[in-house]
Amino acid sequence: MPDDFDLSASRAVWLSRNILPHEAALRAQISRWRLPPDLEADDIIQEAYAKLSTVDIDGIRNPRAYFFQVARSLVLMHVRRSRIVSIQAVEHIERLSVPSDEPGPDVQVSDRQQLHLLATMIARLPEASHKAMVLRLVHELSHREIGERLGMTANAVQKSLAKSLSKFIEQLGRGGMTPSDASNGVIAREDQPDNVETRDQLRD
Amino acid sequence: MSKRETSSEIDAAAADWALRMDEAALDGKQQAKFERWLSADVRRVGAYARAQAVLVHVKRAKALGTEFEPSSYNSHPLPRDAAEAIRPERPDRPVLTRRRMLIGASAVAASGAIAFFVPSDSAVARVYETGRGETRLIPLEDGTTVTLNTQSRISVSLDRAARLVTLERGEALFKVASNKHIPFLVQAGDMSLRAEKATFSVCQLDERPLEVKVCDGSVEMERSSFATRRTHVLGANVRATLSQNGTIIQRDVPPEAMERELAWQEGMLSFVDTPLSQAAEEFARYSNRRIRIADVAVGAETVTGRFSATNPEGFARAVALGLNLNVRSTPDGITLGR
Repeated sequence: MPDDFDLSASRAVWLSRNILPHEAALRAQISRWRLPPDLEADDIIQEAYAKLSTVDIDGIRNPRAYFFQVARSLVLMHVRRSRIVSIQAVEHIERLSVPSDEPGPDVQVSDRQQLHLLATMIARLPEASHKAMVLRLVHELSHREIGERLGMTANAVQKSLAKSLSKFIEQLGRGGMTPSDASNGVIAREDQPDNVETRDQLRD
Repeated sequence: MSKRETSSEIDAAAADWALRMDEAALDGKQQAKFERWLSADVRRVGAYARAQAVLVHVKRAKALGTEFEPSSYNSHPLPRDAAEAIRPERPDRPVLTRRRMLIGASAVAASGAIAFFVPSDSAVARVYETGRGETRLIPLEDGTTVTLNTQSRISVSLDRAARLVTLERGEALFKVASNKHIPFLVQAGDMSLRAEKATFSVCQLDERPLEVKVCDGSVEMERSSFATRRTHVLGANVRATLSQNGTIIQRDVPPEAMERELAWQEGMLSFVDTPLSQAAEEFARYSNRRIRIADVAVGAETVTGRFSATNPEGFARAVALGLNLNVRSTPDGITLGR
């Protein structure tokens, strides 16, 4: 039996506060590493979250640095396994440092900006999805109750909410939470895999 | 083998599961399906963990009220709740401890309420404890009574979202006052218990497996740290123990045996054909005066009767009389032998 995964709601709260805000920066970092051909940044991010579901969070003093370290060691593991990649690639990644302990002022997103981004994301949903989301989040109605109000089946409500949530996952993970985006009200789109601005900010 | 599933396909499925589970607990069939899905690829576990985290984040929008108007958050001061909800954890602020969060989280999962994410400053946990040999009856504000056995410590926090008790050590008996809207939750180690109306005890001692006894009503039991979060529902007259390897073992206990095992409420220990060594061990929880048993054969003799928990001498003398043993007093206890 491999690791036990903690998928409790409390872990989710911890992840949302301590890890999620750094995901975009990590993506930017990963994009500078040479990954094996069949491996993508998304795979690494997902595996990193899985890893973070196994560790004792009380022992993590600096979640951001830990998140980066986990990702780096996952990439290394994949690179070593992949026979196609040369020894140089391994050395290349091994030389890469993990960013400093404290996020710089550019990465720290204020409460207001986070909230603003959240409001923007929700506001940009198509009308029916938006209504369903508000009824779920604010009024805490069940999917069936939402369906009754909007003339949809409970199943359709579930699908609509899931689609919206997928969008949020995408947006939050791809630089949607960087301050520049938040203040401009710009949200990374699916066809914009990298947030160039984030990368530049981190280079300093 | 089919083509490797893309990470965005995984994310979509993870979002779907996260939303399903946020709305209502899965039934057995769905749960099995979810576990199959989850266990097939570690990326799915991560994607699900992230989907949950994003959902938590998105739920902070509740504080924004019904109108999600982005522009209004640039110029106007934030609603107090909103600012509160979105503020990241800061070490200098009394934040929820992990343990507290675990219980709070179960409350969220159970009730669907999200008030947890905006913990009210007024809900300060109260701590109650007992010394060796002491039992204490604690009436809680909600009508529940808690009886603490010897050397026990609990912290209690009651608010609108949940009634939370953390058993830090020892043993406690809960007579839960019924309240459909506010679940009663007990956290002991990494075990979470939930009851609506029940009488049950929880015992957490270093050297023994965690034990839950249900006298009346029913209690839901769940390990907090497992992916396969199987909830066990314990009915009346059931004892559940958590074994070393993490499995939960349930056994039926006749009501009279249950009563006997909970005789400590009245400051008594009650035995029926209990090995002397085991009875002596039990007394050690209640007094600094130790009962020592000279040899294994004597320890295997059995005792029956009801004894004052804080009077090991009285017990030793009664037993010695019945079993024809010698009693020898030592500075720190009593030795029983032939």
